[in-house]
Amino acid sequence: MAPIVQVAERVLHGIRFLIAVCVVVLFSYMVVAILTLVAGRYVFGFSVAGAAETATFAQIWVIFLAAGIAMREKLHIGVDILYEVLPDVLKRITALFILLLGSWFLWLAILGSQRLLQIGQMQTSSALGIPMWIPYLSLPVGLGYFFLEFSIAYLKKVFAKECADNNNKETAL
Amino acid sequence: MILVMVLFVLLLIAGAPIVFTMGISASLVLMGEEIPMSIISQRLFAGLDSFTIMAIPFFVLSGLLMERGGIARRMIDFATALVGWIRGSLLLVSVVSGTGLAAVSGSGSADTAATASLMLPEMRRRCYDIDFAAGLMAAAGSLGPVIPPSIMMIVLASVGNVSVGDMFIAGVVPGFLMALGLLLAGYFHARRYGGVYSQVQPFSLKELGATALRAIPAFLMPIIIIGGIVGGVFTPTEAASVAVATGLLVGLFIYKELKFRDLPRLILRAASISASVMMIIAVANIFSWLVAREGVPQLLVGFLQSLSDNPWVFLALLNVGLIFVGMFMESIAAILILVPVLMPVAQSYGIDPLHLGVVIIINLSIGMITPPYGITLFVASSIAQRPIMRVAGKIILPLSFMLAVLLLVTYVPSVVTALPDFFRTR
Repeated sequence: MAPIVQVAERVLHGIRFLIAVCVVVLFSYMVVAILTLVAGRYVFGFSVAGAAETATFAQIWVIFLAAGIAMREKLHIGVDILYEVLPDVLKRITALFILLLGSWFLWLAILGSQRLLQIGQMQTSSALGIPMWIPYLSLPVGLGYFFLEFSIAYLKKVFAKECADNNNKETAL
Repeated sequence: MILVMVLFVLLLIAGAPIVFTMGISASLVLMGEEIPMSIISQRLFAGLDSFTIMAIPFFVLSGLLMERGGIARRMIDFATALVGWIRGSLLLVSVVSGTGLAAVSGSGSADTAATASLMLPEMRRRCYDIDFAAGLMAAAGSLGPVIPPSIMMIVLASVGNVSVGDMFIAGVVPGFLMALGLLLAGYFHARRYGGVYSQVQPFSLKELGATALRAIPAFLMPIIIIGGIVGGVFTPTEAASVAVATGLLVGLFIYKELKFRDLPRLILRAASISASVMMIIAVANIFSWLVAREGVPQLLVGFLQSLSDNPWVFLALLNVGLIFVGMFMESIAAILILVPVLMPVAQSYGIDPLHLGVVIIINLSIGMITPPYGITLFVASSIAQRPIMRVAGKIILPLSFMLAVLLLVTYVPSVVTALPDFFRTR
């Protein structure tokens, strides 16, 4: 294997590991924050200010980051009955068509998030005054990773020796 | 617009993930209308910036914790003791287990997978008709969205401005009626084909008591969720987080089948399953915005009222349309696109939003067992290792019972509204 491919694989593995760790930490935070909200109200008799707000921001980060993981684990729902019966060449063409249009959509979304990031530098959240660029940053970061996994999955379909779905079966952690 | 619709259908049947099918089509409409493209990222963010829909990842995680923590097996043991003495025992056990799992998880496909993996080997050994059994289990799995807690109901309530708690309670009676219908379907099949279905185990009150005792921690889940929401103790999101805590306690310390080292993998799995659903919610938010901007609900109200001002006719058209939609579209996407349009139309006919919500949910749950896009049918067929169309061919009997309940729910609204009304007046 060429050294550049080895480096690329290591970088990809590193990114995937980092994303997985972030998702697990943020998801765990969501659970703890909401349980603390409930416990604060009923057990300790006080309201935990901002727990709902920070948990909601964590949720946004989790979903945008995990969208890429879901792509890799083939969890994004689609109706592939027709695709499965197509001849090999048509399968490749279809995959290329989806890859191009899907990349265009993600590119528009990532590009649009720049405007949100600019607004976010002037905005703060209502409960805790958190700068809004922090939750808005989830869009370019999460969608960027989604784009990476989407491209890998569909390039494999376009260029695979056999067009049968041959994504690896490794799990994310 | 017609070109965009053609592209939407093309992408859909070409197997593109629904997220891209909807996102690409919406972006093309925005481009055609010369609306700034930054609206895409704004709507994506707004679609996820919601405390209510946080219940979805929590219910997914609690379902995974329960599945990994041994709840499905204990539920099946209890169901076996409860109905295993009746002819066609394993068919009935799979319906009761599917109903029980629907009450602890929010996902129909997860319930189907759990029941089918545990029940099918024994059904094969006893020479049951596996195509029928898989179809019945797919139908039992499709009760997941109707019996609370339900991810579909959370999404519907959030886009339709209905209380999630009321939706959950409204689904209880129709859900159990559907379960009863499926039990009858299993029983009639067993009566008709005799022979292999006559092997049963004798009823034992002692065994029923023992299995019920072992399953008590599992039964805690619906009691906490529904009781907490109805009693005003928790919001649905808080109830879902408590369900996660209960799942952890039961799996780690009571059943002891869950290990701490399993948790990162389960959390990651829950996050990616949730992302696959919630990205559809985010992208559909662009669609809903466009639908509202173009005044589609008002156009539809005008069109439908020119056809008939009778609500029963509207409901009949709705059922036909939704069953068709459910056959081809993913349920969450269908809810996100259709509910903002249908709610105002139904209100113009004087139909209760809760009633409409449950009718929509039942229609789409029927869509989960009808090809070409029947998600629980896929799961059951794949676990049974049988061709989808063979299993689909045997779905007619369970399907006819589900359709009968749909008709009852559609034309007797009190089946849906009586229980929420009862709790509201207390």
